[in-house]
Amino acid sequence: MNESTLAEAIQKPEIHRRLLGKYRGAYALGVTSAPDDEGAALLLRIEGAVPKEIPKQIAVDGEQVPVKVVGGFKAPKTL
Amino acid sequence: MDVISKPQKPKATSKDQLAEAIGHVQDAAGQLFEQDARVHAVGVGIATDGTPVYRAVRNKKKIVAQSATLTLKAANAIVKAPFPIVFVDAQNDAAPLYRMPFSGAAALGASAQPEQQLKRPLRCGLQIQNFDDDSRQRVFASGHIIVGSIGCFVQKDGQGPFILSNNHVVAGENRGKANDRILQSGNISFDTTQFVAKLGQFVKIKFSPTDASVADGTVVFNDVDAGIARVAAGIDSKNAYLSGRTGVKPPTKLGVAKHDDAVSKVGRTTGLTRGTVTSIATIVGPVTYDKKPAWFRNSIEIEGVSGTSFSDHGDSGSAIVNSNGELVALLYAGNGTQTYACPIDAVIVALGITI
Repeated sequence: MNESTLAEAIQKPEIHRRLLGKYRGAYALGVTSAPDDEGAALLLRIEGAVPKEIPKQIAVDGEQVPVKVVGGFKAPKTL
Repeated sequence: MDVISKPQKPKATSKDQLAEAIGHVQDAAGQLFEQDARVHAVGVGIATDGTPVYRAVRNKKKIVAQSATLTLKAANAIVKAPFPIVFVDAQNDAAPLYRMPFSGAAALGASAQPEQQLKRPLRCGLQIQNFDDDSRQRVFASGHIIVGSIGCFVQKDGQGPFILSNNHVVAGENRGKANDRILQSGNISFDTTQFVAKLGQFVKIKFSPTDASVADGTVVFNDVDAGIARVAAGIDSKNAYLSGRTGVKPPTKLGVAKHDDAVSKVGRTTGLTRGTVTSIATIVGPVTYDKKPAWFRNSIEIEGVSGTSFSDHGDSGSAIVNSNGELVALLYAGNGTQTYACPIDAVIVALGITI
């Protein structure tokens, strides 16, 4: 899946609902390169440990997109 | 404040101990930030017996999952640091703007970064202050001023030059008034020799309710944190860095950031730093502003190379340039590990400017 399609998809609340489930906290969700360097993937950073409920891939427009989930995120502040 | 001393007595001299503590502070901070979501600052302090300690400042009122907190005992057991950890309790997160003492060891010009000094002609990366906003906010009473960085110089409607930086730098998070005076490098009393620009225009930051969520559709997104200030008559400026900043191309043309790009910035606090774009089109929040949260979309996420910090408080407004010298984004926030910047094409459109 190309980057622009993914960038558009992550603006939709539905993607956030499916990815985050019951998680409530600061996070960052962006588009990055896929681990196998084939196409684009999602990068999700969340606070604390990564709950097992968060999926490692998600269907976008019928295509499975890898999700790299990283814990230990801190809410950013203006600098 | 609680202190637990580690059993072994350090053998090195105090000077060596301090050097060792400073050498490991980044590792300790990284582990503390990861293990306790309430920690927002880690530094080296000195205990009453003269030995170094790691001072971890945490917001005790911050509500986080129990799994994202540490007891002091656990902190000292888990975090591999050569000296004890001390928790310092705060009632809030760190100040959203860079509020710094005007005199003393931590004052203006005490750092080695040349961008903090008064410099003419104006250059990218120099320290600036909205003097009138600081005055209205009465920050001088506590001996502080609020500063940020010049991103670059732009034109608007064929006029200019204008300083491009963040709203929260030149316009005090929507508080700015037309023609507010901008000083370089900054002062606690108005100094005509430091007056360089007047506030022109800024894009208002839209804040979201504290319980807003993207999933619920209740977040109000921002695309940029940006503002411009018209350079005063008789003040020279140039889209270039100070002469000592070699190995980085000045922001004279525009580009688009891609993930894995190598990027650089020059700011008043950390000077010249290098990083990698780790994600694009990023939705991030809540970003802590002055007591209010804000959410951003289409941001660019950057991490410093080899675990270094790409930015710190006071670097807001810095221009992010890629290895071709293309200006790709404007730095506005960070958390010590990740830095967030708004894409320059959105800034250009929002302010109606050209470079």
